[in-house]
This record gives sequence, structure tokens and C-alpha cells, in this order.
Amino acid sequence: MNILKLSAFLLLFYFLVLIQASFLSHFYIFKYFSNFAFLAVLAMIFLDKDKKIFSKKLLIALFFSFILDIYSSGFFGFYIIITFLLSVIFKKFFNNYVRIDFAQKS
Amino acid sequence: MNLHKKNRKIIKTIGAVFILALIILGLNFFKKEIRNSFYYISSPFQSFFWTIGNKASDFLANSDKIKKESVEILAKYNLLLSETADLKEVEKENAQLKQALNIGLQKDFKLVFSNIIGKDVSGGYILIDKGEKDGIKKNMPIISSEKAIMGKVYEVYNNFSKVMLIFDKKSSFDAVIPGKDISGIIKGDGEQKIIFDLIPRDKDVAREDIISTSAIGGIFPPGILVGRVLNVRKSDVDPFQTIEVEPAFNIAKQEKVFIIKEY
Repeated sequence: MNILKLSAFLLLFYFLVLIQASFLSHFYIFKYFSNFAFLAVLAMIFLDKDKKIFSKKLLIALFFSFILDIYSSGFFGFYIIITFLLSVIFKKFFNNYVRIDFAQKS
Repeated sequence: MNLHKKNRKIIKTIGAVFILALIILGLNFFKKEIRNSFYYISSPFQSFFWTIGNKASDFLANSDKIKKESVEILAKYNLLLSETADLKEVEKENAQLKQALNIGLQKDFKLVFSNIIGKDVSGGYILIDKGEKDGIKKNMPIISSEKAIMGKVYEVYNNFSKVMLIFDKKSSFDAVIPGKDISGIIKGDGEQKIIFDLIPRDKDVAREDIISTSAIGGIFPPGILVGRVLNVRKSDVDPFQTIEVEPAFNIAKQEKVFIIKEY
């Protein structure tokens, strides 16, 4: 992923977090606020084909989680830790027990 | 050889996790400065999105004319409820304090006006655009434009503050039904609702009873409107009844709030 593409992606995600915090927070889905930004992070680590634990996509996802932590009320690092743990679990699970084409490195 | 490679891999992973933990620890030391900087950059966008969000939610909920009328009526109603709560409290205090020292309910607060620019996904926190440089301190009460209690300042940054709303699970404070002399604890349930708890079963609480803040605990100034009784739940085995309360403000429709600096 080149620098320009990465920067655009980061900016897009940053604005998604702002929209979530200030616009989408007016709307409820089944009485709960939607955390689309975190869903985007989860999708990113779920679709990460690299078998290495510290892959490029994970590092980007961790940076996105850092942005989520800034705009959340929990302790700083909450989303970073959750993202890292879920990434490790997904990779272990898909490497050892499940074989789905899109989740495997070609 | 393979074992050697595997060991190196494990050591690398442990090292990386250790570095990540150090980074998280470091971030926590500077979280106020980091958050303030990001909020400073994003606040114009967040104010814009918040205003748009207000308008969009209003548009979806009601037609303009009916919405304007209902907002006016609701604001007047809440003001009247607030004044009624004040008057009942004053009546009670006057009866108790007969010696003419002119002590009554203190109504003059030193207020700071602020805009809401964002809200946490958990629903229990909002971000306002006043901070330490505006003289804001932790635990200062926040009220709506209709003089209803909204919450208190939870975290203060240089230019912004995080407010814990009364809906949040961590929020609890003493409240009273003025006139009936029934006091209890208001707790947030984490889902945009509040509960009036620890009311003895024998106390007579009716729907639409007004609840206001109490002087006990010293968290909020006394006599500020909290909400109205929505539902009363009594159980045969529980010595206390649980009361569902409708808060006197709608966070989705709030754009501006007041911080009580002194009371």
C-alpha cells in the first residue's frame, strides 16, 4: 500500500470516527449507538491474509484503534488491546482450524 | 535448527508485545495532552457534524411546524417543572428555618455556557468545548438550557471537557421528591434511562411526580430538576421500590449546556 493511499485511508477513517462521535450519535439502532469505526477495524483484521502476528494490516488497525481510543471514554489503550487480541485469535483460528479462501494467504 | 527459529520467533513476539505495552503505558501518561490536541483539531468538524445531526434527527422525528411547537411546549413545561421543584424546596426550607436569617434555596449560580461537540458510543459521555483554561474543574455540575441536571464534568483537558451524563452506569447521586419528603438515589442504567432507587416500599410515589436533586452528598446543588416518575416497580420480597424516571432533557436535541462553576 503506497503512502498516498495509506494517508487517504487514514484520513477517511479519522473522519468516520468524527462522524460517529458527532453525527451518528444522534441515532440509535435497537437502543444502542453504532460503533461502525470499530467494525471497520474488525473487518480489517478479519480479512488480513498475512500469517505473521505483526503484519502491516495489523499495524494500521492498531493505529486506527489508537484514534478510537482518543474519542472514547474508556482507558487509553482499550481498543488497541482488543484489536491486538482479536487479531491474534483470528489468525490462530484461521491458521489451525479453518480454511476459508479469502482468509488464506494465496 | 527449527527449534532455534521457533525460539527466535517467540522472543520476537514477546518483545513486540512488551513494546506495545510500553507504548500504551506511555500514552496513558500523556492522554490528556494527546486528547486535547486531537479535540482542538477536530472540534470545528465535530461542531458542524453535531449541528447537522441535531437537524437530521429532528427532521426524521417530526415535521418542522409540529416540532417547533412541541419543542417550545416541552421547554416551557420543563421550566415550569423546574420552578415547581424549586418552590416546593423553598417552602420546605422556610418551614424549617423560621429564624429570619433569610437563608433560602440558592438560585444564583455562576454559569459558563458551552457547546456539545461529540458523544461517546457508550452513550454515557459527551464532549464540550470548555476546559481548564475556561476555569472548568472536575465534578462541576452540568445543566441543560431548561435547567435540568445533565451530569458532571468527568475529565478536564486544556480546551475541552468530558461530561459524564446521569445515564451512565457509574453515575449516582441523591435526589428527592419535593413536597413528599421522599429521598433516594438516582442511578444511571447505561441505556439512556435513570432509576430512582432505595425508596422504601411504604412511600407513596405516583406517576408524573417531579424529582429534583438533593443537598445530601453535595454532588449537585439542591433543587435542580432531574425528571418525572415514569413507572413504579414494587416487589413483595424487596424492602425498596424501584422507580423508572424520565430525564428532563433529551441529549439528542441538546446543542448547548451550562456548567455551574459556583453555587
